[in-house]
Amino acid sequence: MVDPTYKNELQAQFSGAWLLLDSTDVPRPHGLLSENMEFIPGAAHTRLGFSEAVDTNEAITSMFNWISSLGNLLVYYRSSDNAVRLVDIEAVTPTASTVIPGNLIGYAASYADAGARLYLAFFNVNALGASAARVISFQSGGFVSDPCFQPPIVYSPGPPSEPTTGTITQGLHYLGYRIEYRSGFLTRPSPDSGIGIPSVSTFLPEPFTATGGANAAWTLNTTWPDGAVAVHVIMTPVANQADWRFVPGAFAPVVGGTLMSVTITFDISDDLLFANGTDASPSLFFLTNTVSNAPQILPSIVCTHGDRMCYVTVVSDNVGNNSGAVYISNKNAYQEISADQSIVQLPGLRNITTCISLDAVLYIFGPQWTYRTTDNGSDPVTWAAPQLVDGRRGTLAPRGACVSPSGTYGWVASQDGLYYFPGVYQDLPISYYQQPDWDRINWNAEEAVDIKDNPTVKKVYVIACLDGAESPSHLLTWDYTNGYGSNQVQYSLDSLQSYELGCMEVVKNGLQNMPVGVPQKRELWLAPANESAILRNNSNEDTDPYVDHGFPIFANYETGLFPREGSRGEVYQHHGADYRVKGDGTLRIIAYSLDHAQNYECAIVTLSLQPGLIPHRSFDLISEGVSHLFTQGENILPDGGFETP
Amino acid sequence: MANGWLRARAITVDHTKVAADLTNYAVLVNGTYSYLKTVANGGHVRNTDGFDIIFTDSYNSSAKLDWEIENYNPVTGNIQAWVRLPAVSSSVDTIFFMFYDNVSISTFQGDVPGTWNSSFKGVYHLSGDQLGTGYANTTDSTVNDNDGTPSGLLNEVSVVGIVDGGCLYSGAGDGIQVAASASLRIQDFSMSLWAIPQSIGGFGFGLPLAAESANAGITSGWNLSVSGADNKIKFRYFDGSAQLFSSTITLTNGVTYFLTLTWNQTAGELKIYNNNALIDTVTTGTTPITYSSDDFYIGGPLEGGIGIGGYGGIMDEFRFFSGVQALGWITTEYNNEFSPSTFYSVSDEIVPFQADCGNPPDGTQGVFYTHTFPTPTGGGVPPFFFALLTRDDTSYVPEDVINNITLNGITGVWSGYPAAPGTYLFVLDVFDALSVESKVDCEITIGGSIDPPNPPTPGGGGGGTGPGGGTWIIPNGGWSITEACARQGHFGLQHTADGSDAIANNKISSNNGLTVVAGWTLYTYLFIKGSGGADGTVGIGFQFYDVNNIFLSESYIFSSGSPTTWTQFTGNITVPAGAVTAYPIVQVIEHRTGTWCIDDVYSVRSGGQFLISSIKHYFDDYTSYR
Repeated sequence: MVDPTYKNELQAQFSGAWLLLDSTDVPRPHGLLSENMEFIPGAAHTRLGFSEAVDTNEAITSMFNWISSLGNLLVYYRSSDNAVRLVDIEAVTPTASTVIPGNLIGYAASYADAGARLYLAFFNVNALGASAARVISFQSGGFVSDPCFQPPIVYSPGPPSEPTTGTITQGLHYLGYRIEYRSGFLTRPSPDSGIGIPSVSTFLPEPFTATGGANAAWTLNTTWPDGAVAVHVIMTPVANQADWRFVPGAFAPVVGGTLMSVTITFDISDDLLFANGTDASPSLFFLTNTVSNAPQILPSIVCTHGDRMCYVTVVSDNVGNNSGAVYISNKNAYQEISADQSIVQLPGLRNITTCISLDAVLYIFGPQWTYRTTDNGSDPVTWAAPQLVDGRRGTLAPRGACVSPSGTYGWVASQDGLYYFPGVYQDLPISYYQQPDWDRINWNAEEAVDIKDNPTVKKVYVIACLDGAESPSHLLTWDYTNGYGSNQVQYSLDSLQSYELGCMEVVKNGLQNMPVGVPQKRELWLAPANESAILRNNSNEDTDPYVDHGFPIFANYETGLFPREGSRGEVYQHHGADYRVKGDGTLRIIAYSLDHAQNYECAIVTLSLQPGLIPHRSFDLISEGVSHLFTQGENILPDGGFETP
Repeated sequence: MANGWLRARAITVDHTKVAADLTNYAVLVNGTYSYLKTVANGGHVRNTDGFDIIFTDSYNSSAKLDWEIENYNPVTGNIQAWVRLPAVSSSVDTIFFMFYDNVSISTFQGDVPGTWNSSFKGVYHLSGDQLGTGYANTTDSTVNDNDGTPSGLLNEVSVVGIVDGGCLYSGAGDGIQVAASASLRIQDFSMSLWAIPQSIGGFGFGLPLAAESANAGITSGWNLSVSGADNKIKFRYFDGSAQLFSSTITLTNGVTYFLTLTWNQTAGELKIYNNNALIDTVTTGTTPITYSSDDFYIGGPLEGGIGIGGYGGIMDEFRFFSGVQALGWITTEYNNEFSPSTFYSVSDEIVPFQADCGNPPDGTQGVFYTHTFPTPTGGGVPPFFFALLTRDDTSYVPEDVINNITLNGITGVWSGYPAAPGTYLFVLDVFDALSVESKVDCEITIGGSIDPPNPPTPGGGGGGTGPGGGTWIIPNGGWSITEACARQGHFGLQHTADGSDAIANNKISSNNGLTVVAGWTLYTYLFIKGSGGADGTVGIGFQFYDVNNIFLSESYIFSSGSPTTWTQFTGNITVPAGAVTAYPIVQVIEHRTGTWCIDDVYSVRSGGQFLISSIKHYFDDYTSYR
């Protein structure tokens, strides 16, 4: 029986921790600590756990849910050997297969969905491009990958014959051919000298003096490069040897990697060539790999911007100074870029870490700055110079900016906080009241920082290395159900016991045998940094939802101080509390005096799911205020390895 | 830099020596440069004819200029080359580049006719032994191909102060005869020559320096001569009647003259220059010269033997030019040819870059290998691009991967896990931003397979790091910590059966005592897998001690079955009354065959979940006397 003369104060709403403020200033229902917690109106509870989605048993540093006509796929970067692998989520038994063999360089991949093709770039621990960009596509019953910007070849076929009568204009023409790759790239013209970087001067066109009154048959007999699917003939008219045109209908399928002879017969006058032949001259300026497929740019990030593809990279001037650059492709031709016409750089040639496309505006981020630019429909070099959005905020992380699935706003992990970003920065980051936790992020491991937004549960997640960790250690979670303001979001610092975080992705759950209500739901999936399984965020419908891959969830919640803020300055004697709690397992409750100067460990509460309990726990503390810490699943043996001394 | 050439120098034309802005001017590069000796003679030129000496108007361009090499000496590095510059400025210095040292060049890279602009109708260097005849070279360098035929005692001589050698005329009628050519029968024209008279004087007739005329009597065409009577220059032409004009300059034996005559038929004006000065301006008629199809002569003899002899002395660089040359051009030519060393300057050698292996360290099979190829030495224009070639230098290495080690072409970082031991030879191929290429032979040696680290010695307190940072106490009896038993990380715990039912010392414990509270539920777990028919069970548990460090009890949970792949098993252990310290223990029982691997031992407080929906906090005002 509680002494009826005691004062009491009831708290029936619970909210996330505000770590920034002195504990005496934290207004309840905000708390002083929230780890592995979730919030609903009227309650705080243990967050839902994670259970095995796919047992890949691989270390993974990035993954992407690729949903297209090819299915619901999970593509990921295996860090142990730098390979890219793929899982069909909806297969009866999801099994990973390697799409890009482990000869890549880099910490992780970034992805850009282009329908039935997936573009990948790779960044290293310095957030710089590391390997050539790749394209994954589905060909002949299997997934394949190809380098972006595949090159011309050196094969010189000699002049064509003139087998029959025709209409090719008499005089000197020049011929070339362009190889179409299965990646969708119609590369620059061949033959190429093969010396150095393919350029206008390395293109060695075939002179062809037409006798007039004849057609032409051009035989090309070579081992076609891997991934080649067709060859197209281009030709100049007699009157202008710089005017390259596709010869309409003059193409033939080829088989990449195979010695194959094709004879392409064509018959066209210069007048018709000019009238009907698509202009091929711009292709002379395409930036491609060398003939040996050595890349000329190493993008760190790829992203689509309208009907173009953006490649974030670094370029060097003639004395070796680097500057950030975004190469932006031609419209609907994601690999058609040229060195001088496709480039966008920031004023002052400032560094660029990433970019996002939001409401038809391309936002370009550097470590401490953000710019915007828009497509004027012409070559990117002609676009208006990027305008400064903010000169203080940007991101150090290649994955430090993301677009919400709605496409109407984004998130930016700036060094000073996590910002809701509808195209401008809010005055305060949503992480404002969690600044102490945000400041724990090890920005020397910026490559690990990632943001994901799951509108289904109205949460935004940041994965990061905290407290000097060099691989991801925590998941910082904000629930924006009540709005995007820093005083509206609910925060929890989450982690998993015995599971090393690698990366995360919001995935449409197409797994078989899921509980009712779960199939096709968008969920946060986690991938490991070591050889373990990919996990999915449980739903309430799961059988045992409050377990992390078989391990307890270490949940902590500490309330604000009792009595309420308006009573500060007084010293009180605190006698105990009635707790309305339910659940399972045992609950540890500790009452802390102001600043944890004293504590009182209450008797352990054995929980009950139904009915809930209102146990009373007595304590005796003399202080201006007392907070209540609830904890469960505490890890008391944090490391169980057997390493050499 | 031009592709394949390894060395270059900038040549700077001093604009103060250029008297007017000129186009398509053939500048003379004339000097002895030690670096232009062939390699065999201590220089850097590869071809004995100097064919790998080339000229461009830009260091960054591989587009060549047009040039003619009049003479090249591979032993001394002496060269006389004429290089057509598209433009030469009188207000700013004009710079062009000379490249050399290219072993792959064996043919002439310039363009002799292209060196001389279309106004030149005949250019005769009058030097060099023509086809071993002993006569000086009388070939016309222009596109008109007005080659001459030497006759008489005409010989080449070395001429100081004039370009390379010149022709020595005996004065006895020897000279050069050029077959009749329409290109030489023009009205407005200029001609120039270097002359050092040796035997003029004493003759009544003029000693022809040049002529387009059948004879000295001038019934058609023209001739230019030195009068034997007064040693003055005479110009005669026939426009229906014979015309004669005399200069005011008197030639003297042994003196060097650079003589230029221009005749402007339209204006009716004749000018004679010596060196870089206008000597005479003479008004002539405007009637065109009457030409017949006569041959053209340089220095004589005239057709039919009339004229007794010819010019006696040295002549060099005779040129016949369509149009009237201006003083600016004439002065510039004089400055250039009279004193090449002051007309232009040659820079220090621009050494191109050289690929550098950077001593790649030896590697070990399966052990991550990385090596950064250094920035090429000696220059080049960044950024550099790195690629690998096979050692025979015939083909690029696909994907730049050698023995599973991949080269990043942009960064020059070569890294990966070597797949097999051996010595690997390859060529590092580096391009600079201008596509200039440099190669170097490299090799690495990959050693044998990985040597696993020695595991800690079992027994008596050895062992690895235990949970919570303690140390596992490992007794003798089949326990070890091995890499082979690692589930993740580096090492795991291994227990090998000794073949008996009762295994002595079958448990290990951590010396890391955990502070616990009676009533706690400890959720504990580990991973196991067996091999070789491993049987028995594995247990995880705690030994509990009281506040006086007196042993109270121990509790375990045990696995069931013998999984061959990593399998987790878990269980709850309740802390007994009185216990304040717990020591984790792992043990294997009834283990008769095979090997157990054990890793990742954890314990946490009991799990579950909770929901807090309200707190009613009781408190009271505090007074110190209460």
